[in-house]
Amino acid sequence: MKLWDLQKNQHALITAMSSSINDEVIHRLHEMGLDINNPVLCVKRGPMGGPIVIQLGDSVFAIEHNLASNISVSVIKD
Amino acid sequence: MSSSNILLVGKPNSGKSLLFNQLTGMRQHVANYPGVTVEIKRGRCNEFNVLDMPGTYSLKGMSKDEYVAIDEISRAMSDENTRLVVCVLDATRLERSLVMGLQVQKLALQHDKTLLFALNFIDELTRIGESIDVNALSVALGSPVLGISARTLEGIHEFKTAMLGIAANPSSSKIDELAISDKSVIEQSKNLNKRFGLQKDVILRDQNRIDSFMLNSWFGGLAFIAVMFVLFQSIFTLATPLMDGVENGIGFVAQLVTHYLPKGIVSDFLSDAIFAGLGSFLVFVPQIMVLTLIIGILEDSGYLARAALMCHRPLSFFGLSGRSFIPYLSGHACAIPAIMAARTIESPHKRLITMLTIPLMSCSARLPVYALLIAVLVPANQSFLGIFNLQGAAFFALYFMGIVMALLVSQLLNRFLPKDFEQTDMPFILELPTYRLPHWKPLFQRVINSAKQFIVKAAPIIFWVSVAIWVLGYFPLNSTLENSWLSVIGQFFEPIFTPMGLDWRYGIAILVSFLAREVFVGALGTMFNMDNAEDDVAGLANRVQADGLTLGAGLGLVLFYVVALQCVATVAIIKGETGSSRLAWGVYIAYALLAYAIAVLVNTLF
Ligand SMILES: Nc1nc2c(ncn2[C@@H]2O[C@H](COP(=O)(O)OP(=O)(O)OP(=O)(O)O)[C@@H](O)[C@H]2O)c(=O)[nH]1
Ligand SMILES: [Mg+2]
Repeated sequence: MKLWDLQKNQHALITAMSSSINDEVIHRLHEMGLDINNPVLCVKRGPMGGPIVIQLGDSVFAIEHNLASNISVSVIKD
Repeated sequence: MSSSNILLVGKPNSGKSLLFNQLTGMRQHVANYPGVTVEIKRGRCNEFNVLDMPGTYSLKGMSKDEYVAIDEISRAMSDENTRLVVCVLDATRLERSLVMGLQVQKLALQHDKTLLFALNFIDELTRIGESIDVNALSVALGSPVLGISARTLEGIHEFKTAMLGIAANPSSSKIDELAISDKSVIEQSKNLNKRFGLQKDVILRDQNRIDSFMLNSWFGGLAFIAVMFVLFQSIFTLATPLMDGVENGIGFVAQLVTHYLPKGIVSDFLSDAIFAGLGSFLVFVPQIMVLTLIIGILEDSGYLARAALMCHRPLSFFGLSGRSFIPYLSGHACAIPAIMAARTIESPHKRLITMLTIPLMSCSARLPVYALLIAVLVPANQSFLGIFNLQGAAFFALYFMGIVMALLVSQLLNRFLPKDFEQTDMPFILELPTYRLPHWKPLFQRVINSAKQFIVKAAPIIFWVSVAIWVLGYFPLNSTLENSWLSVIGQFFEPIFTPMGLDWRYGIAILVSFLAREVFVGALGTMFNMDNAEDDVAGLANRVQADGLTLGAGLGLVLFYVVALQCVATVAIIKGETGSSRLAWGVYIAYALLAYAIAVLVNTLF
C-alpha cells in the first residue's frame, strides 16, 4: 500500500521508498522523519486531490501525490 | 564599531526573527508559516552584529532561501568574526529542531566555534502543563541551553545576558566533545526527543482537529473563498468610513487655509497642487492599513500554510506551486517583498513563473486608482445580489481580474518559457504550523508602519509631480488649463490615448504614473482642480464624473491599471532575482502593451 492511499486517522509504518526518488529528496525525507520503520499518521486526505497531510513524530507535513505515491507503507491495526 | 557577529539559525518557523526583533529592537517580518525570512537580516545588540537567517530543515538545501542560509552558515564558520552561533529550537517540535541543531553543532565543533541553544516556545509548553529539563538537556547536548519565549519574553533577559557574555568570551563555553556521539543526527535527535521531548501530543491533536475542518473539501473550500472575500471586501467596507474622515479633514483644512489667504498664485498653488494633488492620495491610506491588518491576522493564524496546500493542485494546473500562493497574496500589498518571498518555491521553473506574474496582483499602489475609478463608474450605496455593496463587489472583481490574468499568463509562460534542465525540481513538501492567535502589539505596529511607508515612499514623488503639473498648467500667466504649457505637451501625446477614449489630461496622468501608480490620482486631482473656476470642495470623483468620462473609457482605464507594471522598483527586483535585465524590462514592456491593448479593446466594445 502506498502512503498516498492511507485513509484519515490511519496509522502506518513506512516499509519502502522507491528508488525513483531523487537522492537529495530521500535525504530530506529522512531528516523529516520519513524513513523506513518510522510511524506515520494520516491527518487528512488531500482536499480535492491535493497533497496528503501526514503527521511524522512531532510535526505535520503536506506531501504531494507524485512523492507520496512512491512511498510504501503498511497499516497498523489498532 | 566592532564587526563581531552572532548568527541566529534554526529550523523554519522556530521564532528566529521574533527573537531577533526582541534582541535588536528591529521589526523584521515575523509570521506563522515556514519560510518567512528569505534573505539575511542584520541588526545590533550591544557591541555585536546579530544575523537573522532564513530557516532551514537541514544543512542540505532544497530551495533558494535555504541555500542563502546554508551558504552564509558555512561562510561564517570559517570567519574569525563569528563569535557565537545561536541555534533556535522549537520546544514543541524538539526532534525536528534538533536534526538541524545537531548538524550545526557538528559543523561548529569542526571550526572551533561556540554554540548556544535557545529553547523557544516555552510559553506553549507551560500552557499545556509540560516542561523540559533544560539543565539535563544542556549536559546531553554538550552546549548551553536556555529556555525562552520570544513572544511572552519569558527568560529573554537572562538569555540576552548569557548570550552577550558567551559572545564576549567564546572559549568559556566550548562545545563539550564528550557529549558528541558518532551516531547519525537523525538517530540522536530521536533519542533526545524520547528523553526530553513532549510526552503527550496535545498541541498536534488540537491542530489536527481544526485541520479536519479547514482542509475538508467542502467546508475547507468554502472557508477559503470566504476568507478571500472578507479580505478583499473589507479593504472597501472597513476603510470607507475612515477614508471619508480623512477626505473631510483635508477638505476642512483646505477651506480654512484658502479662506484666510488672499486670492492669487499662492492660494491657487496650495489648493490645486497641495490639497487636491497630495490630499487626494492621502485619502487612501486607511485602505492600506486595513489590508495590512487583515493579511497580518492571516499570517499569524497559521492559516496561510493551509491555503497554500489547498491551492497546490489548482495552481499546478497553471504551472505554479502551492507555495506560489503566499507570494501572490502578499503581492496584494506590494510586489517587491512578494517577489523575494518566491524564493521558497521548490522548483526553479515555478519560481520564475511566479515572480513574473506577481506584478499582476493588485498591489496597494493601485488602490487609489481603483477606488477613484470605481467611485466614478459605480453608483454608491447600491447593493449587489441584495447583500453586498455594489462598489465593494466591483473592488473584488478588479482583484479577481488581476488574479485571473496572472493565471492565464502563467499558463502561457509554462508552455513557452524554456525549462532549465540543469536544475532539478524538488517535490512539494510543506510543514503545517500550529494555529495561533495574532500577536497584537507587533501587528498594530506593522499597520501603522504600512501607512508611514506608503506615505514616505509615494508622497515626495506625488508632491513633485503635482508641483510640476501645476506649474506647467498655470503658465503662461492668466491662461486656462486648455492653453497652458501642460496642454501643449499633453496634446502632443494625445493621439496615443484617443483609442482608449481619453483626452490629454488622462494621458498626462497615465504617463506620470509610470513613475509610480499612485501619482495618477494626484496628477488628475491637480488638473481637475485647476480646471474648476469655483473653489468647491467636491471630491475628485465627482469632478471626473461631471466631466463625462464614458463607461467604455473608464472601464478600459481601470483594466489598464490592473495589468500595467508601472513600478521601476519591481523591475529592479525582478532583475536582481533573475539576474536578467532583458527579462525584467521585457516583462515591463509586455505588460504595458497588453494593458494598452485591453483598454483599447474595451473602449471600442462598450
Ligand atoms: N507562542 C509563541 N509564539 C512564538 C514564539 N516565538 C515565535 N512565535 C511565533 O512563531 C511564529 C514564527 O516566528 P518567526 O520569528 O517568524 O520564525 P522564524 O524562525 O523566523 O521563521 P522563518 O523565517 O520562516 O525561518 C510567529 O507567528 C511568532 O509569533 C514563542 O516563544 N511563543
Ligand atoms: Mg524568520
